[in-house]
Parts: sequence; structure tokens; C-alpha cells
Amino acid sequence: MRILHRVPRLWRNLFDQRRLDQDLDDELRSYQELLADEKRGVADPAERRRQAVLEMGGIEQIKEQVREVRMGFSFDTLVRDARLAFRTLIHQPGFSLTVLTLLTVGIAGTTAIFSVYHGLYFRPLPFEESERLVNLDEKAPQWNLERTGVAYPDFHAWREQNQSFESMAVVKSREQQLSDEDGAQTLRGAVATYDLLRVLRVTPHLGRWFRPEEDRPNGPPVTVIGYALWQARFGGSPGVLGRIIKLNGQSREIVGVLPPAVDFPNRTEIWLPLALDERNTSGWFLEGIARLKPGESIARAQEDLLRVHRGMIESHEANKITSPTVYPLRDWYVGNYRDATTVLLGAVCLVLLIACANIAGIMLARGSTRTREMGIRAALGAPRLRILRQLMTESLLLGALGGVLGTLLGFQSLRILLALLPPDQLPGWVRFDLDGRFLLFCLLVSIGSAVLAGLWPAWSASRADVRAGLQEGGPRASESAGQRRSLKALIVTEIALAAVLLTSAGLLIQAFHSLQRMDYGFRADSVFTYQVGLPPLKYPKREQAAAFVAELLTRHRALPGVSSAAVTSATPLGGHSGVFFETEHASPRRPGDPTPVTLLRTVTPGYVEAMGMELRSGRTFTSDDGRSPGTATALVNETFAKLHWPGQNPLGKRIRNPDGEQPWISIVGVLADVKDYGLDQPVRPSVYLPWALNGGNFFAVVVRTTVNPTSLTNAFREDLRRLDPDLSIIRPTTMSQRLHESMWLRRTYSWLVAVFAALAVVLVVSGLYGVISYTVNQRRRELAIRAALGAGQSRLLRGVLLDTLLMTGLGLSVGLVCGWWSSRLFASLLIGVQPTDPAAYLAASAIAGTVALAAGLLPAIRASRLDPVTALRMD
Amino acid sequence: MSQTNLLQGTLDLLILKALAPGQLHGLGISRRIEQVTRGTFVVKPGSLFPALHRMEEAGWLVSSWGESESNRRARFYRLTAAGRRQFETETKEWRRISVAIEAALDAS
Repeated sequence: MRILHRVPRLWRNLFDQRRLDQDLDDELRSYQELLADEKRGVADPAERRRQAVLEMGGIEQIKEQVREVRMGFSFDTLVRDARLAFRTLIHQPGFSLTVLTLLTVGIAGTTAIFSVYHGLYFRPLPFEESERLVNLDEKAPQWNLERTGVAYPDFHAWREQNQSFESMAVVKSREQQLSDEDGAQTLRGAVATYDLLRVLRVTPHLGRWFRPEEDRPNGPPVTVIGYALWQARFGGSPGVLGRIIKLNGQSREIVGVLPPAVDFPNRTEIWLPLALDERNTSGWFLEGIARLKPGESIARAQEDLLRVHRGMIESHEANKITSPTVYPLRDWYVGNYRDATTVLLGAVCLVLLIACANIAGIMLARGSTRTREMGIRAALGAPRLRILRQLMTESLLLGALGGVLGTLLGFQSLRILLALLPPDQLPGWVRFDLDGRFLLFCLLVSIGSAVLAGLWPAWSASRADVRAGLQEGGPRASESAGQRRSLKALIVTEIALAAVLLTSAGLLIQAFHSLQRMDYGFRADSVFTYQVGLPPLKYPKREQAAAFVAELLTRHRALPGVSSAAVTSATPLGGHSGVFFETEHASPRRPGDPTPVTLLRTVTPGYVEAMGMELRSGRTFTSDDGRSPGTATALVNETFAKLHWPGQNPLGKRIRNPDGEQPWISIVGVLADVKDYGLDQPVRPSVYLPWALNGGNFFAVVVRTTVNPTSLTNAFREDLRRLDPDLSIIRPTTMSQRLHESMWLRRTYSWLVAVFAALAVVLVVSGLYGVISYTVNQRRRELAIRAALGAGQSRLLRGVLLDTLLMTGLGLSVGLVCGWWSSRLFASLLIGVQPTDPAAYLAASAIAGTVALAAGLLPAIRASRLDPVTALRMD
Repeated sequence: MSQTNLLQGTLDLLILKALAPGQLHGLGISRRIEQVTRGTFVVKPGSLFPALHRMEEAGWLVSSWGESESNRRARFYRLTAAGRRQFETETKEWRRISVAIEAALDAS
């Protein structure tokens, strides 16, 4: 009942003020008259009224007190303050625009980076109850592998015997060559088990997913296509179900179409059943995905799997060394961006802080010009809190407006930035759109910044001495001095923050450049590479594939502009293929010693030359190597040699497959280490085997050219087509392009931090310029008098110079120390450079020092040139 | 008694008491309170009117224009049913507190 009563009253309080005020006025006047009536002892009516007025007190004040207790009073005041603030800001366009610009820039950067963080790490994955989805893998520290991939027999046992999971499945990316009457196309494909959709809780858009009987070796040949492929190639027609297409040479029937959300694991376009037999499959190469039971934790689930895993040791000895790992699904997708994103977050927060400091400085300086206004208000009886609140309303208004503009600018900038990045690096479900929760966050940040920047100036302005405000000539000298100190403190803080950004940017860019300059073990210039997959159905025998390779290379070598050509199972940055070798006469290993996995590559003779790799000792392969059982040879890299035969000559030592059934292979050459996994990744021991011994159906062609490599693309394509028209070039590129792309993440965030540092420098310079101008201006009169009395101009310049030097020096010292301290936070990103590397700090000091001095001296020089008479008159 | 020392709750109680017999205008309420407290509490309009409006918004009083004894137009206040209930509640509460304070002061 009370609510019903209150609502109409609230409405009236807010919107019918005039009538309420009139009523109150009438009531108070009637009170006055009644009071006057009471004074019967006095004859004169005017005298009675005067006494009544005196006794009553001021009507206006009573009215104000009644207003204060009315419902909705605070809101009404807010509206009133907002209107006044708006008018004030409009009348001071210079100030308002400057603050607005600073806020917009600061908020824009913050919005952009936070939106990246939000899109990658906060937005739920597009699957039902996605917090329960996890990624399954295995680790083997003894083999030096944190992620080995899942072995199918392990998965099979986990699936049957676990108690913590609702459902689990495994997938593996596998490229598919699609060919049907419309032509050939290379697709991003994947193989998966029959329960994948159950784990994801997704139903097909059309048709169905695989059945268990299709997920067996030699099961019915079926396939499921993705939504995008369905639209693009099959016109989105429902008649696609039942169509037969050829994938990697095998005919398969399309039985389903998936909805758009599932482009799992990595923009997969088409799906096939995994179709493995757990009794018959060895090796670790699958990726697991599972759904936890409600309330189950990752730690417990991992232990549960470990129990099952160890239970298999009798039949699977390797399970002593491997162990299951469970990760949140999100980490698998975007875990490697976390460091970079955190660094960017820190950097952009610093920029925002500097912007706020600038705003605070501007407001402080401006506050002193409003002391008269504040003095009058205080004299009229406004409580200090009221003045404070009104000033804060101005800040809030600017904050809200700056927030809106900044958020829009931030999103646009992000969109542009994303367009510049290499495509397809991020999973398909990542979206950086606006959503309600994030917008609210941006608004809070902007209002928070405005409040942060405006609070101190507003507080000090509201403290204005009434008398000082009203007298001519402005506040006393001591107040100005206090204000100057505050301004200087702000500038020192800004310089320190900017110095942190400069040193961080310097270190990151140094790391980036040192990585680019490092020796990665091969010469990437003028090397063209592409991949080929020979369908096993068409080329079932090894000799057929080998003959194909030989013929292809011969044709390529005949092309003008080609200096050497070769084939390899994979190029550097082309993936991992891990094996183990038994080594002869190697230094003894104790049980439990780490046995790092070895990277295996199979290459044709001429590969070392084509790749521009360096031979440390021995020789490279010839066409005789590997042709017959007795001629099996191998090349190893330095890491392998040092691992197994430290201090000895590895040439002539022998290795073989650990199962003991294969013949021994002699090492005939040692190659320099190659950064196979990336410029900032460690190197693994590597073995290279001759193509004749071990070559297969999937390989990469490597051609070193004397001309621009891409100019020969069509020639290569033609050579391939002439040998087999069903084949196409997969992922043609140059090695230098591939290297360049592998560094995209590091390049992006290093340069972004540099951009933020530059932005910070601009902000600091403008802030410093403003503060010096202001303080010089304040003392203008005093200095003009001195000048008129004959004192030299150099005095002023020296004073300002000293001031600027002091502020810069202090700011830089604090900033450099903080910069060093904060570099430890992202030390993991600093490869090839020490956090104490002087170059970054020197550069930061030089940049900050120079611009600060310039910003400080300019206004001083300008002021000193001013004619003293003019200066005095300007008051 | 100075205005600022009169607690808001006490003023509410006195106003409710003053209006218990029937409706009064603002000055009348002030005089009635002065009378029943034997001159101890003289409520100035600066305290009275905010209190009256607050209590009216809370639903304990209603007001309307009327004519005073001297035929002047004045705004009259009277208790609502909720106001009477509030009066009883506050009276009980006040008695309870004053007994407690008495006991505290008498204790050795």
C-alpha cells in the first residue's frame, strides 16, 4: 500500500514542482499571517507582520529545508546539477574539448584492448554449459613433451572406465581433397569419433552425425559437411544429403550438415569418422575433448583418468611415462595469447592513467580561475558537499560523453587492427562485438576515470576560502604555490608512467628484433614451398610415390630460375613428428633420466642445399643412400649428437628403431640446429632419413630459386598438373613468408606497446607544456615587474629550466626503476634480451628527456620574449 | 529549547500527539505542542514544516486547505489510519526507552 501511495507523490515531486512550490509558498505565508494575528498586543499591522517575519526566519530557507526532505530530492538535485554542468561546459569549449579528447583517447585504447581480453577469455564458448568442456591430452616430461597428443587405445580405455565425465571424444585435423563434378578443392578437414556432437551438445542442422558402426575401420564411407561449405559449394540445398563426393580419392556419402557454430577444432569445413581400432593403433596424435559431469573438478577428473591410465601399464608400457592431462577448453584455443594480452592490458591502463593525470592537472589549473564563483556560492550558503557534488557532476558528464565516444572509437580501431592481422589465426567463435555486459564495463571505466581525475581538483576548489574568492586579484600566493606543487607532482607522475611504457616498449621491440636477426639454421630467402598429398588409393605402393617425387623434382629442376629442388616430410615450422631411437654406444642413461623425443624428417638428396642448411661435419645424402637395406644412413642435428654422444664425434655411430627389428643406421653427417618449432621455441634433437628409405604419400616440396620465388608458382602448378591432374598445390608460400607469419603475434603486441608509449609521450608533452605555461603565466606579473626593474630574462629561463630538469629527472628515475620492476612481469616474453639491457632504458631516457625539455622551455622562451609593459597591462 | 536538539523521532511523536484529537494547521500544531509540553518544546517552522511534509509523504498525515478561526486560508493536517497506528507504535517505543534510561540512571 505504501508503494502505491508513494509513486504518485514522487511523480508530483519531480514533475509538478511549480505547483508544489506555490502551495508551500502559500502555506508559509499563511503561517506568517496567522503568526502576525497572534500578536494582539501590537497595534500596527505592519509592525505585527515584521515581528512575525523575524520570529519565523527566512521563508526561502524554510522552503529549501522542506525541499530537502522531499522524496526524489537527490534525483532532482542531480538533474539540476547536470543542467548547470552542461551549460558551464558549453561555455568553456576549450577546456571541455581538451578534456573530452583526452578521455576519448584514453578510453578508446582501453576499450580496444579490454574488448580483446573479453572476447578471448570471458565470453562463453558457443556451446551449452561450455564451462564443463575440457581439452584432454597427455604429457610425458621424460620425453620432454608437455603435450604428446592422445593415443587411441588410451582414449578407448578412458572412455569406458572413467567416472568423472559425461562424454568424451577425440578429433584430429586432416586435410581433405574434395573432388566431384564441380571440380577439386582443398578443404580443412577433421576426423572425429561418433560421440563428438554429444560432448558439444549440438544437433546437426540437417541429417545426422556418425553412428558407432561408422566409426570402425572399414566402416561405411560417410561424411558430414560444415555449414559454410554447404552454403558455398552446395548452394544450401537440402538435397545435399545422400550426395556422393570424393575425398582424397575415396567416395563418401554426405549424411549431415552441421550448424554454423561448430567450426571446431579450427575452422574445420568437413568431417569424417575417425574409424580406428584400439587394438591396432599406436602412436600419440589425437586431440581429446570431453564434458565433465556437473560439479566435477578438473583436478579430480585428471586423477580419475590417471587411475584408468596406469591400469593399462601391463599391456601398454608407455603409460608409465605418459599421463593424462585435462585443461579448460578455452586454454587450448587461446592460451598462448594470454601473456601478450596481459602486457597490452597493462600498457593501456598506464595510458589511461596518464590521460587522467592530464585531466586532473587541467581541472586543477582551471579550478583556480573559478575561486570567485565558488566564493560566491559559499557565501550564499551552499554547503561544501553541494559545491563538490556540482563540480563532480561536470566531471561525470564529461566522463559519460568521453566514455561513449571513446568506446565507439575503440571498437573502430580494433576492427581496423584486426583487419591488418593475418587471417584465420583466431578460432571462429571468437567475436569482439559489443555486448551489454561489456558496454556496462566501459561506462564504468570512463566514469571511474572522470571521477578519479576530477575528485582532487573538485575537492580543493570546494575548499576555497570565501574571502579569498571574493577579493580582487585572486587567491593568495601561498595557495598558488600549493597548487603549483600539486601540478608538478602530477607531471612527475606522468613522466614516470610514460617512462615505464617507453622502457617496456623498448625491451619488447629489442626482443622482437633479436629474434628476427637470429640464426635459425637455414636460409629463408628465395625458397618456395608447397605441400602435396598423394591419395593412398591411387598410390598405394611406396615405389609409386617415390617415382612420382623423383619425376616431379626432375621437372622442377629443369625450370629456368631454379637452382635446387627437394622434398621433405615437413619443412621447418611445418609441424612435429616425434619418434625415439635406440642409440649405439651412447652415454649411459639411468632409468628415469629424461629421454627427449626426437624430431624425424625424411628428405630427398639436395634438401640441405635447397633449404640452405649448414653442414657441420660429414656429408649430406646422395641418391644412393637408402636405396638398399645396407645403405641406410642418417643425418642428425647438433642437439642430437650432444645429447647422446657429448664430447665425441657422432659420425659413424649408429641408431635404429627401438623395437630392435630394424637394421642399424649409420650417421654420416651432422647439421646445424634448425629452429623447427618457431624462432622463440627451443630446439629438439632431430634425425633426417633419406627419402628412399622412409618417404610417404604426404610431403612438402622445397625449391630454391634465383629469381623471385612466387613468379614461378604457375610453373610449379603446371608441372604438378601434368603429372597428375587430380592433384593441386596445397598452401604455396615462401619460407621467408612463413617465418614472417610465425612472428605475427609478437610483432603485433610489441608494436602496439610502442604505439601506446608514443601516445603516452604525446600526452606527457602536452601536459608538461600546459603546466609550465600555466605556472609561468601565473607569475607573469611578478616577473614583468622584475624585468621592468632591470632583471635579466635569463633568470626566468634558468628557473624554468631548473624546474623542468628537476621534474623530468625525478620522473625518469622513478619511472626507470618501475620499468625495470615491471619488466619482470613479462619476462617470459623477453627472449634474447635481458630485462636490464641498457639500450631500452637509455632510449627511454633520451626520448623522455628531450621532449620534456622542449615542452618546458618553449613556453618559458615565449613568455620571456613578452614586453614587460604589455605583460603588466594584460592583467 | 533550541531546534537542533529536538530529535527527529521525538518531533514526529509530538506532532502525532498534537493531531490525535483532530486536525490543525501548522501554527496550531506548534502551539499545541508548546502547550502540552508546558513550554519545553517550541517548534520553529524551520523544523516543523520539513517534518510535516516528510510525515505526509510517509502516509501518516493528509493535508488540505481550509479556513482558520480567524477566517484565514490555511493548510490543515490530520492523522490517517496509518498515522494513528504509527502513533501507538511510537508511544510504546518511547515509553520503553524512557523506562530503560530511568533504570540506567537509577542504577548505582
